[in-house]
Amino acid sequence: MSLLMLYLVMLKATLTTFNGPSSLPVLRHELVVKRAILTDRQLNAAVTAAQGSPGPMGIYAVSVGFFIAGVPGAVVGWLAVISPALLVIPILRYIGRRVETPRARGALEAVVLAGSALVIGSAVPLARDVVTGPFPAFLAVTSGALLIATRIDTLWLIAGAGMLSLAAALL
Amino acid sequence: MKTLSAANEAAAPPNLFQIAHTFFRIAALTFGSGNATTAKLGPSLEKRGWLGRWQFELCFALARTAPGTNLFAFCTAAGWYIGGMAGALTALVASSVPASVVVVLLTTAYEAWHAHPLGHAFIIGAMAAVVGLIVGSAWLVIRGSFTRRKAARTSTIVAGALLLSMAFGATPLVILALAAIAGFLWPAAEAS
Repeated sequence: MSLLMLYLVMLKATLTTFNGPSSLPVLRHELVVKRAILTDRQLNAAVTAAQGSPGPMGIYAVSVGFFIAGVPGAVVGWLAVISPALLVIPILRYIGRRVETPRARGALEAVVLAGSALVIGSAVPLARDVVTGPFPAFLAVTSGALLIATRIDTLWLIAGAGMLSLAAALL
Repeated sequence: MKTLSAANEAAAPPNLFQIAHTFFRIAALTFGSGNATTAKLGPSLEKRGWLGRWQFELCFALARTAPGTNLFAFCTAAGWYIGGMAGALTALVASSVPASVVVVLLTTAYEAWHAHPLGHAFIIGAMAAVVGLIVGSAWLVIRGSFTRRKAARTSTIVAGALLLSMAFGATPLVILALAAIAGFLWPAAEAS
């Protein structure tokens, strides 16, 4: 796959979603299912890397690009992540008030909700890959519950789960 | 083009280096999520007199209506208010480069360590946690729309999207398009 095609595929994912994680199902469909140039394990690793970095989870696309085409792929992923942000300028200048209409807001909210549902659905194949027993299942459920119920930084949740898994392996 | 509010006119407009430095520093040192970075950027920009409160709120709200990552849309919008198009591009690049570099380094570390038994054990644990975090973060977004008035609408859209995806194999773009149509035809009760 050429870098231009990779950029267009990734841009399709970032342009058609309204927050970083919701591009996950689109990217998985394009790169894992349809084109088979990425594995679920790599996609999960990309999300893990993004969760361990400063900033938004949507930056995982940089890691996806890196897995597929090295540093040039990472640059392509970065461009695909930041390109849609420029659309906020015409929105800011011309259509800001129109977005506030109830129907436009309703459409936007529905897209966000459906996107979030798809994110949950996209976690299923990732879970099949790494949640292979009771202990990884415990780590997954506990991490999700702690995210919902507490304000613990995700970085610590990931690091804690990794350390617990490491300790279990040593024991 | 007037890019600073009357409230901010007393403050000297920052140059591009100052804009880059401010966005880069906060983006590089704030872990957690894009929202955490936005929450730190807003007061910092206000304190410098670069962005008024209403401008911050407008940037925050409109960033959520723009496609892609909310944080980068926010930084672009804020940068545009502070320094026009050059300010927008500077803020966008400065806010996105630190996380991108760290992600590449972490991906490289993954490739180096995932074959090592201990590295593999750590990575598997971390990945299992991320599966939970993906579901948890999606639920946090959905939960906000589970008010008494919107529960039926929210349930229908979420269940419909999951059903179309998992039972019928519909592609994400088709599902999102159908959701937009449904949301347009069935606006939220609070908004009508």
